[in-house]
Amino acid sequence: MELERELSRVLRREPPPAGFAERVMDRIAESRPRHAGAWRALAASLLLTTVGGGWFLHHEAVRRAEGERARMEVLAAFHIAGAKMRYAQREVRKAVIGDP
Amino acid sequence: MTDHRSPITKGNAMKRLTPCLVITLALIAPVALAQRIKIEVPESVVARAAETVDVTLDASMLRLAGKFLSNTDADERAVKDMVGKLEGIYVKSYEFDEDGAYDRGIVDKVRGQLGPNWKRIVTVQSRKKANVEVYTDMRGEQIAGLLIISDEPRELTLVNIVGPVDLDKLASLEGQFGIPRMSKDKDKGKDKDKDKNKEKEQGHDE
Repeated sequence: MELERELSRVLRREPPPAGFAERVMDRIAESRPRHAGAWRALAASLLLTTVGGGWFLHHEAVRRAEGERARMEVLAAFHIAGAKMRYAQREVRKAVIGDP
Repeated sequence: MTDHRSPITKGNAMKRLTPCLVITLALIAPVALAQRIKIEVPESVVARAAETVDVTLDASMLRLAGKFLSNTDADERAVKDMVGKLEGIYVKSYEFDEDGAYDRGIVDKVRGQLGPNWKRIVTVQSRKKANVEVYTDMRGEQIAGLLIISDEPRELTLVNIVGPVDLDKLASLEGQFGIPRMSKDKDKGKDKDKDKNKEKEQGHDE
C-alpha cells in the first residue's frame, strides 16, 4: 500500500515550469548551422549571376553576329553601287570630253 | 492677374504631342515609301544565276551596321557617314553563265515604279559592256533616293538607296572592303571570288 502511494506521488502529472517551451525552442534554433542562410544567399546569387551572365553573353554574341552581317551587307552594297557609279561617271566623261 | 491656363503636366504634353507625331509620321512615311523601289526578280531567274547578291537593309539594320563599321579605315568611315542618314539599302545582283538568261521585263517593271520626282541623270549604253541608268529622287536640292540599273547580257544589277546620297562620295569609294563575294555557289573559294571581283572591277575600269 505504501509503495503504491509512493509511486502515484512520484508519477503524478505536473505542469512544466514557466518558459520551458521557449527554452527548448531556443536550444533547437541554436543547434542549427550558423551560416546556413548566408550560404543559401550566396548560392542563389551565384546561380543568378551565372544565368544572367550566360543570357547576356548569348544576347551579345547574337547582336554582334547580326551587326557583323549587316556591316558586310552594307559594304557589299556600297561596293557594287560605287563600282557602277564610277563606271557611269567614266563613260560620261569619255563621251563628253573624250577622256580616254 | 491669375493664370487660368492648365499647368502642363507630362500627360497633357503627351496628349498634345501625339497628334503632331501622328501627322508628322503620316507626312514622312509616304515620302520614304516613294523612294523605296520594289525590286522583284522571279525565282526562275534567281535559280539560273551563277552568282547572287541580295541585300535588304532597313533603317534599323543600317543603324546596327553603322555601329560595326570601322572608324580607322577611310572607306569604311565614309560609308559609316553615309549610312547614318539612310533609310534603306536594297541591292539585287545576278551573274549568269549564259547570255539572255533574264527577261528585260524585270527592268521595265522597276522603271515603271518611278514617280514624277525621279529623274534619270545618267544613261550609259554599250554593246560590249554594261548599260547603266542612274535615277535620283530629287527633293529640292537634295537627293532623297537613288536607283541604279545595270544590265549586261550576263549580269543584272539593281540598286536602290533610300535617303540622302552623295553621288561623288559614293563613286569615290574605291576599296574592296575585304568583302567576300556573297555567292549562291558556296563551294567556290573566297580567293576565287576575290579574283572575280577584281576582274569585274578592271572590266569596268577599262
